[in-house]
Amino acid sequence: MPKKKPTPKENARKKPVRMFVLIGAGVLLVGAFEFYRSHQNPAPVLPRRPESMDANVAALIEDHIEAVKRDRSDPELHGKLGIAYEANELYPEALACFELAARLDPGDPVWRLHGAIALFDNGQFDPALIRLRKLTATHPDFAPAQQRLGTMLLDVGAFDDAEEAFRRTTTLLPTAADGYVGLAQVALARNDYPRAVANLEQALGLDSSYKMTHFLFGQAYRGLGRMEDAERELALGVNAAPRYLPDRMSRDKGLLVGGLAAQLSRGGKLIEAGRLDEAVSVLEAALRDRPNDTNVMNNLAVACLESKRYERALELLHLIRQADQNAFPTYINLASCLLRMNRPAEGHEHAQRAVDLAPHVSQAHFVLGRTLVGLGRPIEAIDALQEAIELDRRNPVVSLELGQAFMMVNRFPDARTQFEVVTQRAPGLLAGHVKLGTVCLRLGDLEAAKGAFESAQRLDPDDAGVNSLAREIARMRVR
Amino acid sequence: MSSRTCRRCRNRFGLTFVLALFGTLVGCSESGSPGAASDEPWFEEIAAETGIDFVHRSGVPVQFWFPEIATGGVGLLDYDGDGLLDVYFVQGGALEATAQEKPANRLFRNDTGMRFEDVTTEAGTGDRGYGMGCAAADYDGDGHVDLYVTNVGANVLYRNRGSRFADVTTAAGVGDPAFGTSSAFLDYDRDGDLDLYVVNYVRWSPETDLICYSGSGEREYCGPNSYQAPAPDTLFRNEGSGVFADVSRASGVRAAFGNGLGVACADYNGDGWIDVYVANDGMPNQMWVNGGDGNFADKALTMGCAVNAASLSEAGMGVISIDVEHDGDVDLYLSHLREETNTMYLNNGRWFDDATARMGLGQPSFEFTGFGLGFLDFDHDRRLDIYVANGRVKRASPSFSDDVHAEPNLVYVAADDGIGFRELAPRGGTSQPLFHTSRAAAFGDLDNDGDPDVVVTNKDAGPYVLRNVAGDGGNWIVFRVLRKSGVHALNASLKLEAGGDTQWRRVQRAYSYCASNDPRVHYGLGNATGVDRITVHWPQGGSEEFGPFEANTIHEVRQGTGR
Repeated sequence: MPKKKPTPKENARKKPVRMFVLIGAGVLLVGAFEFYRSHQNPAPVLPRRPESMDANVAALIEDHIEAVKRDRSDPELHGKLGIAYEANELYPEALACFELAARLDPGDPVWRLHGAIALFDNGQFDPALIRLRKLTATHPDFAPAQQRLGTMLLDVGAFDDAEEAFRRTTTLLPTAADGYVGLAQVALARNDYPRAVANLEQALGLDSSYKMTHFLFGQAYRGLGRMEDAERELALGVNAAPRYLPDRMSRDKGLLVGGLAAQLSRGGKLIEAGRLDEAVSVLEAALRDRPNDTNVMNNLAVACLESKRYERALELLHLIRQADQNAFPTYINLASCLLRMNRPAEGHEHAQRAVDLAPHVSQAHFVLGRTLVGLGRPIEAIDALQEAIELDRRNPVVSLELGQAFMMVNRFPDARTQFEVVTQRAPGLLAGHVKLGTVCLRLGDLEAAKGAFESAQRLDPDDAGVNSLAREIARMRVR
Repeated sequence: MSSRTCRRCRNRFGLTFVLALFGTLVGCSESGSPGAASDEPWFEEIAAETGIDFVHRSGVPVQFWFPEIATGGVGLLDYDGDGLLDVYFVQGGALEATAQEKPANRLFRNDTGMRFEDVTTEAGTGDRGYGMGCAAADYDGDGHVDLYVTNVGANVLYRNRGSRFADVTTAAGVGDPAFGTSSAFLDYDRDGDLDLYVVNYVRWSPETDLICYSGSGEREYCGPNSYQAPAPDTLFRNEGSGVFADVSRASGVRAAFGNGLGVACADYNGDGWIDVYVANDGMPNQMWVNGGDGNFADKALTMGCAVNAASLSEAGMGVISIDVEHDGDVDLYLSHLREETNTMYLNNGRWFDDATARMGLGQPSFEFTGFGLGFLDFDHDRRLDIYVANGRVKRASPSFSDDVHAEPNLVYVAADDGIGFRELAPRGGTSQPLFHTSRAAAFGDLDNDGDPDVVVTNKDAGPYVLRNVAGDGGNWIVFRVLRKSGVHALNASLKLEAGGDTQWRRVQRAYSYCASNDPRVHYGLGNATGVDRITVHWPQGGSEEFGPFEANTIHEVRQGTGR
């Protein structure tokens, strides 16, 4: 049937409909384009509460936001912004960044790993675990994710799955200790102590600096009834920092910590880890931002002291003292610094001031004792060091110093007692074993000296003190 | 936490497509509560109705004096012997004020179950030291419960002479001048009288205070390890005649120490002697194993309860010893800092295992800072539940109220799998969430209706008085367990058998954080209408059987009257 031509009246009636359809289509097109554009070039994630951010953190985040704005399509830039948020504990923002980065580059597992880490660090354990499971299913060869997954599965008691994840880690990275440590943890959770020991021995062979292995050895030995070994290993392993396999972004994380508290904390951790140059850099940067902050100065002074930048340390400590004449930590640090600069008389003045200000603080008495040793006044030093121990028995170095002071006045049995305390409390402290061996020789106890020497030799066979002790023992035998 | 997952986010692309045209995005909301509110409330907060008008004061947070962040203790004790628990609040005050300017601690007498009257002045218990906690017990065996108060500075011992207390600190020799926190009466030498263990925190003084900052660069309270000055604890042996001797050094409890906050006494190794467990803040905990000869040795590390399964020292605040597995040995549960878990150490008879994760207790506590805590069967279903009082010590996001340290408290209910726990919804167990900086929590049956109630102190605010309304889960039974002299048999352990079911409990006042609790032993019985027998293992040795007993009654059992 032929189509009827519309009348002009009908055409006029249809015009608004066509217009509406056209406008609608246009709007949809614009919308689709906007969607496509925003999907391919997402805007950077902005901080949720910028008003509560530390100025340094805000500036650091702003730099990364600007970088993203320059190329919104680059997943790496979104990811780095996420790492900056993550480093400063802004986890929801970090997660949003990692999701954008993962959307732009679905093939790179690192963004999804950090998404899971951000969730975990924010206390969202279940979603983090779900993401890790998905990630390891699609990227089974990504070892950092396998190790993280194993650790989390261990936490929820899924031992079989945890074992599988750690086994996979050892297959992927056979020269890393981390997977074997995980397997040992699974074995311990199942009370399979011999298997735990076997895995730990593997781990120790690969990385003798992994402190956690000692703690786990301690647990395994306890299970096997080897209580003396257990006690020693547990003491060596207490407060082992949690360790995860690094990925290419985690290495940057430490450098993106912006807040003052975080900077101070990072500086402290770097000092503890012996990474002194890095510690000085972090804290010098913090001081540039807050040039009058005595707290920053004090932390920086400690880093300088430890890294043998004595003049700089002294300069800072004098500045702090000018700002606050009653800050006892300053005087402790001043005394320590001057001692290391071989200026015990000046150090003694500051140590005495520290004791006056903080008579209940062990370190004040400790540093006083050390300056007295430096001044050749061992009797007074013994009093000060005994007071330091009375106030805080945790620090084996105080006992070590006290033992040496006893040696100076030929009180060898007392010195031996102190060195025995050191070796019990800090079995990993080489000097304790060497000194114990030495004093045992002075006391004519060759067997005890040999025992101390063997312990020292296990810790460091190449140490000069250990070798010297060996020679003394040999001489004693000859006699 | 799963409670804060963004469940609607699956549809986000669809929403974005439509809404992008208008430049608006609807974000996913965060509930901040433990999933769907599927449980009935377990508590009603009724402080305003009770006549308790105590308001805690920590001081003015200008100097950020270190003790301000930890103060706030509470004790439940029947000081007048009328059978009702009275409430004693330990006040902080202001560290720089003179004693006369400081607000006093306050004692509220329980008149009718849930109506209280301030009797501080007439009872003579208004110490004005900068208060931390308290311990109650009848140390002199005269039938009246006495009170020991810990302070930043000299502690105070109040001897109860009937209805009025006398400050006998000097005569008794227990005015430990350190920074006291939790304390516990215990008979460690089994000579029949109660000795006293005092936990001390940090060697602190205004002169040694330090400056610390929050993550956003604002002034903040320092952590205890900033001071590097952990304080040794003190053990006082009761010499009789109202005098104590400081045996800290002789007994060995000065051989190691940390930043102590919590204490829980029990026979952890099953050798018949009461041991002392101390929760340290940011340092390894101590397990003082009682050698039976007056000497103690710290065995926490080898016993597996010094640090958590990851080898890390945690910020121990509150602690309780409880037999959560009902296997006759004593387990431990500790509250910790945000981003740590509260930790459950299960005793396997030889050492402790960190069972936090497998019991479902890790994740819910991860984002809160726990202080006071208690394990009780609040709903009488025969399974232990947990109450944890929370409050931050540092700023964090999100904020729950204008008080930057405020947090909700948590209740854990025994999970249906019979192994672990799940968080009760609604959060904190009340119909409306409560947000304050909670510190101590004391547990006891304030109205003698058979179920345990809770009193929680809040920093710089009034307390919560939480009346237990936890449904009709089942029957209950309560025991007053007394020694021959009529004194509560602290640290006696009770094995209850009812219809084939066995439950273990202990007589204890000193648990939680800076708190003293109801010494009566409470059990939920579920459907059981009676108890076949209880076996009481006395702390001085020996055991006796009692029973049978009817349910839903408070019974008294006295040493020497059983089988």
